[in-house]
Parts: sequence; C-alpha cells; structure tokens
Amino acid sequence: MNILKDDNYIEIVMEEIPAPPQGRIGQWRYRVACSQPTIHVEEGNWPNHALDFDFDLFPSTFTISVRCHNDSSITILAELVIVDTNSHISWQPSQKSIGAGGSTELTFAVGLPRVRGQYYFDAILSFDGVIVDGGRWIINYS
Amino acid sequence: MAEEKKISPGVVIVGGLILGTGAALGAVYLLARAAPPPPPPGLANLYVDVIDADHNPLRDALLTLDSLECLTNASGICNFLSLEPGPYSGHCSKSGYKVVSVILNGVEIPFSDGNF
Amino acid sequence: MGNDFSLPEGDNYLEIVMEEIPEIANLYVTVRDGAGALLPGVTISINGVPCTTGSGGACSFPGLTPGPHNGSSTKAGYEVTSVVLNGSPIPFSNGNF
Repeated sequence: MNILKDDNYIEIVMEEIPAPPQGRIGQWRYRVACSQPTIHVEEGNWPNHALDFDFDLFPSTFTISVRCHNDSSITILAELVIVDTNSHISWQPSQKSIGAGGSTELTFAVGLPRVRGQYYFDAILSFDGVIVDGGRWIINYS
Repeated sequence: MAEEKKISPGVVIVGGLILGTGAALGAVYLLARAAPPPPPPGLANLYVDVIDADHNPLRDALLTLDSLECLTNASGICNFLSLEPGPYSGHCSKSGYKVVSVILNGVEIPFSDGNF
Repeated sequence: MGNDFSLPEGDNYLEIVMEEIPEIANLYVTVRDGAGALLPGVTISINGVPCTTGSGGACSFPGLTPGPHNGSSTKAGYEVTSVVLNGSPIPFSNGNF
C-alpha cells in the first residue's frame, strides 16, 4: 500500500473463518445430516432395520447404508468405515464427496458366513477426516 | 528597538530579479556578485549565500531584512547594497526547509525559526 | 520578529544553511468484524512493527515516511475480507496489504 504525507486512515474488515462441518449419526447438528444407518437386504422382502434374520430364508449378503445431506456451503468428504467385525468378510470403506446442499448414500456390502450366530459391525462416520460418530450394528442370524 | 532607518539609496538585487518592497526603492540590475561595487562610505553591503546541507546553492529562499525582501537566484545569492549600518531583523524561509546555521562575517549568530 | 543582528559598515557576508524538513505520514487503523463491530485482538503489522487492537479495534502508526509500506492483519479464526485506505479499497491477500 502507498501512504501519503500527513494522516492516513485504514479500515479493515475481518470475518470468522467457517468451522468445519460436524454432526452425529441420527442426531443432526450443524450443517451435515446423516440418517440412521440402515441395513438393506439385497434379496428377499425384509423390512429395513431388521436385525434378526432367518437363517433358512435370509441371504447371507447385506448392505449397510447411511444417507447424508450437506446443508453447509462447502463440499465435504464423508466416509463410512468398519473398524471391527466378527463377520470375517473383507470390505472396503465407503467414501463420497457431498457438495453444498447435496445428498449421498454411503454404503458397503457385508457378507455373513453361512453359519448361524450373532454378528456385529462397528463403524465410524467421518467428515473431511474428522470422526463425527460411530456405532455398532448387530445381526442375529439364526 | 531599531529606529527607522534610511534605506535609500540602498537597493536589493538578485541576479536580475527585482523584488519591490515597502521601502519604495529604485532598483538597479547587477549582473553578478563577482565584482560588486563597494558601498559608499558610511554604508554597508550584505552579500547573502543560502546553501543546503550538502553545500549546494538553494534557490527561491526568501530573505527579508526589515522591510526589504529578496528571493535567492539559482546560485542561492541575494545582495543587499548600500544599507545603513546598524541592527536589522533578518528572516530566511523556504518551503520544506528549515534554517540550521547563520554565519555573519565568519561568526555564527543566533537564530530561531529562521529569524536572526 | 527577528532576533536582530548588527550590520557593520562596509562589505558583509552572510551564509545561511538550510536543511529539508522530512515529510511525515501517520497511519490510523480500525478493524471491524462482518457485522460492523470493532474487533479487538487483531495484530496489525506495518513493515514488521506489530500492534494489537484493543476494545476500540484501533492501532496507530505515527511518524512513517510517505510512500509504499507493507501491512498485515491477523487474528486466529478470522480472515480479512476488506481493506480500505483513505476511502478507497486496496488489494490484499491472506491478510497482507
């Protein structure tokens, strides 16, 4: 800047830098909302959120999904990762960018061994690398 | 205080530039200081040089001696000729400058805010 | 009026030395937030000399030399969105102007 002789006056405006998005699965705060995680059955005619599956009637592959809506003004990267399970099935993290005002569904498919029993899946949800929540889903396969 | 002095026939000359003053004097061109005429007996000449801190001549400095005025030329010179000896109020000013030294006949004389 | 000096008869020589008076510039800074409220705790730096705004959102930098100078405005959690010098916007980047 170039200042002149005698008196010079500068007025500066500063504004808060927007905070990164935050939230909880199923409990929406701030700007990004995600639904309760649901378990979808790929085949058959089972309702959502079913946790007890008939061994003889139920297929052994499921998808776990979380739907998120981004109410903030910036794009975020959402990721759903299984951190622990006793299903002994390999899986890949589900990662998607959600634009401002947009929605997406994070899903991953898990398979159960064809063995009756109780299986759990511990997953965490993060936005831009910041863990915002997690939970455990239990499937009684009997 | 200084009594009113007879200025006439004193003149103020600056390398060809004439400044009228309140003393209603006639003006005479003088080509250079190189050979100024000595003052008539009983009178005084005052040859003024205004310079900057690097000893470069300073033009357009305004000199006043009582009611006489003179603007230094490109050589930083003002000459006041055929003055009555005695006390004078002097002042030197130039926009953007301040007086830092006044030496009369090789001797520093006091000054304040350009007044001497 | 003058101090008066005495002019003797005959030729007299007067030498006057003059020095330039340096020009001075003063800079007065006011910082506000996006709602127009005065913003304290802002570090204003002019040519590397820092000042932190108080409750009045102000900093002063007297006795500068007229001409180009580097300035910056920083506060944790905040970013500069406008800089106006003597009524005219001036460019800025990352809080530097």
